[in-house]
Amino acid sequence: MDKKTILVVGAGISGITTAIEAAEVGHEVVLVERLPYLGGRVAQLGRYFPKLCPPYCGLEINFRRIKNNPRVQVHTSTELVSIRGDRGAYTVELLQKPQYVNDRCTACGACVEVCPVTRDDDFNYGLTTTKAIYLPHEMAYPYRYAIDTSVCMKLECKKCVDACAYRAIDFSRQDQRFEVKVHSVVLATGWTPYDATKIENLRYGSYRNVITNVQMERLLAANGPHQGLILRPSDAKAPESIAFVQCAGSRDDNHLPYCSTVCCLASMKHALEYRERNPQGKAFIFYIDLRAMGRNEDVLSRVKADENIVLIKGKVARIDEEPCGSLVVEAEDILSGLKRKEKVGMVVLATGMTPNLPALDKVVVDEFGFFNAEAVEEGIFAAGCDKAPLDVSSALKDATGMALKAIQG
Amino acid sequence: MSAHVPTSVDPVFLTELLKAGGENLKKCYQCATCSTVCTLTPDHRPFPRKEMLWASWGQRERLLGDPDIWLCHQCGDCSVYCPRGADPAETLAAIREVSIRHYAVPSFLGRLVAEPRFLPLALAIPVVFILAVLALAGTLTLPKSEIVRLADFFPHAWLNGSFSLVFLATCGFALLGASRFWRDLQRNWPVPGTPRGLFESLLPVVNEIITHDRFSKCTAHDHRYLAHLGVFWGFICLLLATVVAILVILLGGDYPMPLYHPGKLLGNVGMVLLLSGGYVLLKERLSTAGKTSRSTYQDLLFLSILLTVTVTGGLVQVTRMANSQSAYYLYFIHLVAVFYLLMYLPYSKFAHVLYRTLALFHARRTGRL
Amino acid sequence: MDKIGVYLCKGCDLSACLDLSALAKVASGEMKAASCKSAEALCSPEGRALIEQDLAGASIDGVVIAACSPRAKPEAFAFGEHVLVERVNLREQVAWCSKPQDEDTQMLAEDYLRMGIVKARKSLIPVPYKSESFSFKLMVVGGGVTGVTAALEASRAGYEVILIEQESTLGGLSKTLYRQLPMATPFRQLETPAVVALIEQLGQRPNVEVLCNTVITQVTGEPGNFGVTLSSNGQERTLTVGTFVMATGAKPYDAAKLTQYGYGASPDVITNHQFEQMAKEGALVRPSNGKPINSVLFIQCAGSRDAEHLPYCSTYCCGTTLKQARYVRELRPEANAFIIYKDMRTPGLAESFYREMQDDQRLFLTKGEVQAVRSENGALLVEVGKTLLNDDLAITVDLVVLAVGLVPNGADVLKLKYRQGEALPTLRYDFPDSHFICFPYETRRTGIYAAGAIRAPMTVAASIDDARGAALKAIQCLEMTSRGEAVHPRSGDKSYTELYLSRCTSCKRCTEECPFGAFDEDEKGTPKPNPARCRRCGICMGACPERIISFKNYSIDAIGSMIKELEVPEEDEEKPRILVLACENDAYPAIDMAGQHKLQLSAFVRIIPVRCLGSVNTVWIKDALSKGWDGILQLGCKPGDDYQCHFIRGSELMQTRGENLKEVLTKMSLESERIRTEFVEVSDWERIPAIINEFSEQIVAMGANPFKGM
Repeated sequence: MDKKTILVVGAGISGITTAIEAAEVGHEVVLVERLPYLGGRVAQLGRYFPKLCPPYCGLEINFRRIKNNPRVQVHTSTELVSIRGDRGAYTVELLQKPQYVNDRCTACGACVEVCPVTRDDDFNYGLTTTKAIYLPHEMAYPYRYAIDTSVCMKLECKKCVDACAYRAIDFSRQDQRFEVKVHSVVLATGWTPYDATKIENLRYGSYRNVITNVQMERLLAANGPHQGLILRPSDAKAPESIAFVQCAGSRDDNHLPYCSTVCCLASMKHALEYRERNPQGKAFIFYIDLRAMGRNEDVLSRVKADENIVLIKGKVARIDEEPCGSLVVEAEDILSGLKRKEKVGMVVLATGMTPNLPALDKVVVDEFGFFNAEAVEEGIFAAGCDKAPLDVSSALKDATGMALKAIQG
Repeated sequence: MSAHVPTSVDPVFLTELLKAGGENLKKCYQCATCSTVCTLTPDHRPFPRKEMLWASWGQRERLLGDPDIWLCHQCGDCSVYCPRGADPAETLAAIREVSIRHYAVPSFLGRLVAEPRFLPLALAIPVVFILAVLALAGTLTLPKSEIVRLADFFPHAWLNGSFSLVFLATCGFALLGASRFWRDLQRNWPVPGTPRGLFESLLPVVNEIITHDRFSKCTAHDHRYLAHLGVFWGFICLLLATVVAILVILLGGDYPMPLYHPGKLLGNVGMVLLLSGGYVLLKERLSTAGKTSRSTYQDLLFLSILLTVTVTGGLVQVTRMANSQSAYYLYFIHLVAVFYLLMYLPYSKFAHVLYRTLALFHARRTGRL
Repeated sequence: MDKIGVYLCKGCDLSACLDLSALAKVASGEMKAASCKSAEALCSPEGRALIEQDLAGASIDGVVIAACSPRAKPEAFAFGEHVLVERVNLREQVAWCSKPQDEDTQMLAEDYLRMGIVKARKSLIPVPYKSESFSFKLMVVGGGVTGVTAALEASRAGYEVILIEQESTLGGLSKTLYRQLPMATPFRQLETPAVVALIEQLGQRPNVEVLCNTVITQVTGEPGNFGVTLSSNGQERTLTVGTFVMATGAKPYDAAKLTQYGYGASPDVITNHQFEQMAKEGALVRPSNGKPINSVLFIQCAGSRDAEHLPYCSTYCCGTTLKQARYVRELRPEANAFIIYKDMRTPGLAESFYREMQDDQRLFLTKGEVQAVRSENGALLVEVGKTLLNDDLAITVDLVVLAVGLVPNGADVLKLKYRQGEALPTLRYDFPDSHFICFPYETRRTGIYAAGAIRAPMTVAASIDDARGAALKAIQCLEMTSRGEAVHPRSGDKSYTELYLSRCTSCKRCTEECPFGAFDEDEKGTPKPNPARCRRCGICMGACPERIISFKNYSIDAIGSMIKELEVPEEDEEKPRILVLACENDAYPAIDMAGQHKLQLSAFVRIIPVRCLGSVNTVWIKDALSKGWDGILQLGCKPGDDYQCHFIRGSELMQTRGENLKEVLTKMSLESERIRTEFVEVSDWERIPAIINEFSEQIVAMGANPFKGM
């Protein structure tokens, strides 16, 4: 076997997969991640459909594969700056942002106790706060603390430096630029949830109990804001009912013209989990088309079997807030031909995915911002949701296939 | 098993809709955002979602007897929020336009008014008519008198007589069209066993017409509701002023009426209302900025005629008082425009006064509103 | 390993919580470790240097690190593959979850240290399994778009490929297409079927052998050494390959079963596959009279999403129908096309083609339920209920097209001469798919990777993606196996099952229970291991009543000794001992994370990670009970339809074996409640204290194990 070095940009589940699959074949992999930890969006999910199993399970195995594989070189807090050259001989410039917490950190947590600054926890999509020095999440890999440089007072404060018994915090660190020579590049920069505040009529951002599906994932997660209890933001009470608003921004010319693929199943999963945890609760799913492909249809069958999950064909286009914080959602129930106003405790907007590709000359995107494989030279590839909105399993099939493309030639 | 309605599509009808301003209607994928954002729709069988699908399927029968297309004031909210760019507001307008053509009696007049290529002919008819009446009246030449007196140009008896005759015919035709529309309404949307009482149904309709209170719920462009209110009341004032004038003439009063005469005052107030309202509406129709409602030939033509009537009416008043000969020319144009407005009422966008009123009444009667 | 160096870490609260000098005494005194040292933070460069120094001096050959969880900082404690490292988890599972400076906590730490040293003593560095000959050849079975892609892409990566196809030409189902749905931006125009160009490219590859009219009659062996017998036109041929991609595809659902749509009753009711053929021939005509069609109605989900037929969604049909509506426009511009759907399913960027087709003026779509299709006056009358037009419709058309779903071709085409049958194990609906979302190429027959429509209904584009992934996994299996490493999920593990066959009683438990079919059997029923098929879960080890199966670094003896060599306090000390056997994949990390959250656990429990609950041998339980342990708690992954066990059947098997265990307890006159099995997920750390502490309380209430001190 002719050993090659490949660069994988982005260490979400797709990037991790491309990286470890190629490395296990026997190739060298440079895996870079913008954030201080690996795992990407799936680390923030509560459960996967259709099995309703926790993403941590697969991450545990994948992290073990990476930890035990010397052929994977991981750089966190690192971004891709440029790609020069041609297939087989790319020179890639990378920029590592200062990681003020180094690998001497034992994650003992002494620093958190002294840190005076709080910040919105982006891991929980703003539903909670952390200190400026924080452990990203329970299974963060590398398992060490990170500092939010946008709010940290650094040397003006340096209480954490004094509190750390392991000399793991060092504010003298600077940006580091470095180059690597690689055979090929696989972009796996993933996606960002669509900004729901742009969907004006659905009132996200103005009504507190209107949340997004990614926030719902956090509520469902064992390490979420309420340890898996579904409590609404306004009063931290369990909502007696929830309305799920499908295609919140997706399949919409005013927002994202494409279908974001996962939202139908995500909402069905949310409804099932909500019902399991709140047996008295009622869920309403307002949809245009229910898209549960392949054997994911089983999830829809489970939803249909629950008489307290009501499926309504008709998109919610108006939401009003009551003084108690409850919400009245309005849609046409098309099949019955009646306008339906449903008072619910909380609304979950099924927002879609937008791609995160870097703006580089060699990276050509399509009309929606996804990777345009037809227009990019052979040697630079994209995996998973860089190409199209995909569910995890499909993204990983693609990511595995891209490991093959990356080691060819 | 419920009866299955034999359903075929009418591609000709569909093409008509596409041409009449509904060119994006096929893009609809039935999410019903439109029905939900609409502030005017009834909760039972709301519009315009179902109309979009019927239109897409070329469902001529379903749409022509559909009262809901007339409950819409085309505020455009549905088009703004439509995720597919299917333009429900414009589609409903297109259905209304095709509907007016459909109920036109005689049908050739419907086509005459509807199609831009017939515009010269449509205008020629009033010109020829007026010239013929003038010829009969023996006043086919401009008056030579020092003082400009319109009655010298078009004797009142001839004017009132000829216009009234034609308008009577128009009313007859309009009634025929309206009755066919009413029959279709009854067929498609049968009135329930115990309909709402006649007055109980009628009063809110009158109230709506006078106050535009439903129209005012169109929050997307609230100046449109005000503008329309202006046009409406302006028109009513002018109509009343005309009636007053005719009465004054018939009763042998002073004519032209002095400026302080209540009839005259009414007319001038009407003119101002109509002009300002009409101006706002036309300006909006012509503006291309933003995703506002698109305008069709019918929309623009109707507004233009209305404004022509008003502007020429005003100018005639001014030039007459200034004792300018141009008053005769302007008067001629004014009369052509008035003829056009009144005689083509059942065929132009003006017909909405008929169909919308009937639809509103039907909606009240059936309890939909 | 004999010369064990023990290293105690003082960091992360350990020195504050524990008496480290007492621990050091246990190590070098009682346990006779070769050395015992401590450092402020073992994971720091200074700490590492301390250990490296000892290793360089060759004073030790095994290292016991008493510090944090083995899941933390493995890279800091990797000293090369010739050094055995055993981690003793004093941080997450002692200091962070127990009362500091407490007698019971100290006992807990000391016991863990003893267990770690015992395990290190009883373990060996694995010697990778290597067979004498090894084939790096890939065999792709099935020459449809998936197979052709897999062969092409693997060959481009430099591997030799043999592609076999039972038909006389390549192309499979996608060869029958007239056009194909768009696969690239802007996703608006139909394309020539991709398989045409792929076959052409495959023809130019030097390292690909294509065998048409060929089927497999037998496969034996293991990855790197599969013996394949092929039959081509009656001629048999045998060869050796290293790995397989199984791309045998799917076939249309049998429309003859769809009588409710008039299939069979009228020749003008056809399937979407027949319509494709018609379009390919260039004339859309009514089969009944050969006249061109003026209208056609497509029935979506004909037999799909239907409990009576195929309960699943076949994924390709919505797009295909839209594509076929485009054929109608091309070939019969004036014809009307109706689509009656349940939901329009054009996920992702495929939505663009739906949008494109919506602009077709003569295409009419509605959600609805087709209730009857009847012939009437030479035409077809279709009755549709529950439509979006708010009426039930009766539509008259010339032709009805049923969008039928896909059913997998048999999973048995490889004719595996395996003890557990010749087919790839299947999931629901007979697809040999992976059950794991995170691991779409997980296979229960090591070295054989299903791809394309055989494993789930999918489109051409998805099949091409899938083919690449499967080809990569096949290549990876070759490379890893050639290095003697296990493939997923214990990837890189160089240990493998070794059998002491002279004591084998041919009970066949191992050959039956191995989830991966790793064992063949001789006529007497004696297992014949295929180490390259082995996934190192240890389920066979757990199954074997004779205890003859072991791994170099995971054996009945090693774990058994950890249990047996611990001192169990006497009854009057009132310090019960509870053994927790925790699955290392999910339960063990969950316990770690309970520690991270500083959730307090009973100090009476002793946790031993196991590769899988299925690897737990009853002898451990028996030994523990006779030694005086008071209770045994087994923590494994969820079994059942939505099983989360990475070794498929481990926790399920544990349940069946549990029945046998009850007998054991009865024989010993012990309460059956002394053994409990709980299923936990990796994210269940909040539940861990309740599970462990409740069980612990129950055991305390039950009283001491009467075998104590016997």
